[in-house]
Parts: sequence; structure tokens; C-alpha cells
Amino acid sequence: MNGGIILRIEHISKNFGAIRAVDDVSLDILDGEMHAIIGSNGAGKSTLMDLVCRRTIPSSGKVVFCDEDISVLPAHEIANRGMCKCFQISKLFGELKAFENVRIALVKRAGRVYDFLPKKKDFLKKEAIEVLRSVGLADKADETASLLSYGDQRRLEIAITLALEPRLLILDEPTAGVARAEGYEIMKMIRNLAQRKHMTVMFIEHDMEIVFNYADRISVMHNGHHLATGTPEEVRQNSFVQDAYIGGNER
Amino acid sequence: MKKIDKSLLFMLLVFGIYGVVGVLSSESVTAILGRIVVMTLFALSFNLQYGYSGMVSLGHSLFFGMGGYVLVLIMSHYGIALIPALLMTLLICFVLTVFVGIICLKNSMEAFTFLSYGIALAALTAVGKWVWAGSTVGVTYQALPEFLTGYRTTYAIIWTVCLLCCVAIYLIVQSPFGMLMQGARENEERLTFLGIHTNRLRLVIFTVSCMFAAIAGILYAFRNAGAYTASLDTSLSFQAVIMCVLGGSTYFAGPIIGAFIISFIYNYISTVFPYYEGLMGLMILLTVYLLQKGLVSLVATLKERYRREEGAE
Repeated sequence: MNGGIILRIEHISKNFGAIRAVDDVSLDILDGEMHAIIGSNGAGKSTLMDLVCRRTIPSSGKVVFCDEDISVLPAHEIANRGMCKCFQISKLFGELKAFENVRIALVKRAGRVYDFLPKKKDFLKKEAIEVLRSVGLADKADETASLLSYGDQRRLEIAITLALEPRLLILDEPTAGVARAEGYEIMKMIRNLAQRKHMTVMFIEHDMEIVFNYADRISVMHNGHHLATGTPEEVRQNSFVQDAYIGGNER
Repeated sequence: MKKIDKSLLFMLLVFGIYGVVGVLSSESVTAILGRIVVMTLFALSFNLQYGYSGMVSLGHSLFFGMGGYVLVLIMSHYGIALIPALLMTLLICFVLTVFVGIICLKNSMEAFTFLSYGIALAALTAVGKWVWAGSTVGVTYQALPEFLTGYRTTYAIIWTVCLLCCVAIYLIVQSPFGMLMQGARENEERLTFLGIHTNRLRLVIFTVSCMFAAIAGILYAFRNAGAYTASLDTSLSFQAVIMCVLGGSTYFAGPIIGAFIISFIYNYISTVFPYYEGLMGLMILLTVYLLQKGLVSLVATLKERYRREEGAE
């Protein structure tokens, strides 16, 4: 399926009362690409992500993932198909240690959710630390998740989803709230991981420098509409995009 | 040599003491001990939901009472022998627990708290009006086997079954399922997006927890030689919460300590000191106000202080 379409969003809309947060958006995500979604606040980016992984139920439209219509599946089934989401606000198991956070995902992947037999304290710990190493957190495996720095929490959140070895990783502002240098580091790490594990990444990002550096393709949203999709060069050239969003800020 | 976990060691020690004291004491003390041992299982079973999974049920009394009532009713109304009656009781309790669980878990966790309380209260009222189920008087064992009439054998059976169940609970907590339980407590949405059917997970947690409560209820009916409305009373649900909070719901040993203190106050202090409920209130107040994590956390706090003093020297 290399070069093929992994995710197809077809005419998806979402109304919140009278407000149309996402309006008839159609979009294809190609297998193996880093696809950025940009747009000003309230453009409907986060809502679109939520619609894709069914955190929010669409008013109309269809989502096809790996040639399967997933618009009728519950959220956990979508995750089981290989689509994992990292949240804008880190959603961790706060009171648990970092490796225990990852371990829960590993238990799930091993299909041992309903395994009632006792295990040793270091059950799957080595594997969990391996995953933590890939996001640069191996030395913080025994720290409590809620006490980690903000940037490390973002890394841990990514580690939890990576443990499931998803085919499509959805990231809602992976670098929000962290210093720019660390933001770059996180994006570099994500790109390396995506290449190594052949993972498609779809992410929302506000920092234009990061977007133009790391995205293979960019989709622009404005007021719930999908304006354009293209390579960074094409998007930069698009006059409507320049007026609507990038404006004078982009060099 | 492999090191035995501290909380398991503590539990075995406590059961050891209950066993030795039970062998040495008179009938009246054994009666109190029997209740303490049963309450230990009841509190530990509740903490599977409460402390480990973050499910605040106020209907745990229902399952405790259910165990005793179902057994005594089918034995005295249909004359079924003890062993088949026990198996039937477990089966009936299982079906009822799953049914109640599906209803209670339909909506949010807040709804779960009130639905579980509502159903427990409704069941208590219904049994109180139901002549077949003994109404407010309760039902006495008609066909108790010979060996269950002596207070020592009864206590020995209660002690053994409770110990086995408490060890089973300890083992469940150490399993992958136990890890998922903590995940459900910490962040349910994260679990959903890891591909876990959280509602089903919660139903399994609920069923496991309530089945242990039902076993405790069956043993309690042995001790009392019958099933009485006190075992269905929703105040028992609150006692379960109090036992966990007082001892420390984040520790495995917490409910064991809580069960001892609360049962001791209810069954012994209440006979010599009429204001025992005030005493209990004061204890809860002090524990929650001074040590948010219950009495067990006191050990960690003292250890920390001792270590710091040692370090300062």
C-alpha cells in the first residue's frame, strides 16, 4: 500500500448547535507521510481529528481507514485498527510511574487485558523501557508521570501510543507548551520513529517553522473549511492561504 | 531467597493472629472475630473497585446481603443440600451482579455511585416487605449441616475461606488485569484510545469485586445461622467506604486495618461505650484531615521522618 491512501476523509461535517465547526471536509492522507494540518484558532483542526478517531461523532460524512469504513465503529475499535491519538492536553495515568504508563499499552497489545494471573513487579518493564528509550525517557522510567516536566509528559504520551505500534499516529499539537528547541527535538524524534516503523503521522501544529520543516504535505483549514492541501512549496505559493492564514508572519 | 511482598506478609500475619486468637478464645470473642474476618474480605473486595479502579459504589451492601439471602432462602424453601446450594448461590449471584452492573455502568461514574446506591436501597426495602424472604425479621437456617453448628468449626471455615479469597484478591491486584484497573482509575479516556472497551473492563472489575462480597455474605450467614436485613443495610456500603478511607485505599493493607477498627468499634466498643458512633466520626475526621492517605500512610511518614533525622545527624 506504499504511496497509497491510508486515510480518506469524505465530506465530513460537524455541527455544534448552530455552529458548523467542520464543514464538508474531504482529505486524503497518504501512507507513510507526515501530514500537517494548519489553520488559525477555531479553524476546526482539533474537531477534525476528534471526528477521525471518533472522540466526537460526525454529523455527516465518512472516514475510510485502510480501505475500511470506520465511521460506524466505536472509538476503541478504531484504535484497535491501528489508529492512535495523542491528545492536546496530555492524557496520562498520572499517579503511575512512566514505565507503568507504557506497560498498560503493552499489556493491551499483548492481548492480556483479562489476564488475572499475578506477575512479577518487573513484568514487561524491559520492553516498556525500550519504548521509553525511543522517546528519550529511559532514565525517567521510575518517575511518577504527573511529576514529569511538561515536555517529558508529551514524550511519555507519545511513548504510550508508540507501544501499540500504530499505523497512523494522530498528534494534536505535539510541541504546544514546550520551548522551541525542545519542540524541534520532539518533531525530529517523531520523524525518525515514523521512518523507522513505517508509520503515517497526521499532526496539528501552530509553529510554521516546524510545519514547513517537517511536513511532507500540509492541509490548510479556515472556519471549518478545507482550503488547500499540498507540499510545503505549494502551500506557501497559494495566495488564498497567504491572505487567510500565513499573512506577513511567514518569511 | 525471594522476598515476600510487605503487604502480603502483613495480611498473612493479621490472619495468623485472627487464627490463633480464634482457637484460644471463648464463643463470644470468636463471634466478634468472625465478623472482623468477614469484614476484612468485604473491605478488600470493595477496594478492588474503590481504591484500585476509582469506582465509588455505594451499593456494595447489596452483594454482601445477596450472598447470604440467596443461600439461606434456597436452602430453607427448597431443602437443597449445602454444597449444591452453594454452587447455585454463586451462579445466581453472578447473574444478578452482571445484571446490576450493566445497569449501573450505563452512564458516567457519578451516575454509577447513585445508581448502585439506589438499587441497594430498593433491594433492602423490597426484602423488608417480602414475606417469602422473611421481611424485616430475616430467615433462619432450617437445614444447617451438623458440622456447621459448632462455633469453632464455623469460625475455622470462615477463616479459611476468607484467607483464600484475600490471597486471591492480592494476586489479582498483581496481574495485568490489576494494572488495567489502575489505568481505569487514572484515565479512562486514555484507555479507550488504546483500544480498550472500558465499559466492559469496568463491568468485569465490578463483577469480580461484588462476587467476593457475595462470598463474604455467605460466610456471614454461616456465622449468624441465617440471613437478616442488617446484612443488606446500605449503612454497610458506607462502612466499606469508611474502612478503605480510614486504613488507606491506595494501599493493599489499608482496608485490612480499616476493617479491624470499624468492626471492633461496632461490635465491641458499642457494647461498653454508648457514643461509639461519635468516636468513629472523630477517627474519620482526624485521619482524613491529618493523613489524607489513611492510617497506612502514617508508616511511610514516620519512616521518612526517621530517615531525615538520621540524615541530619
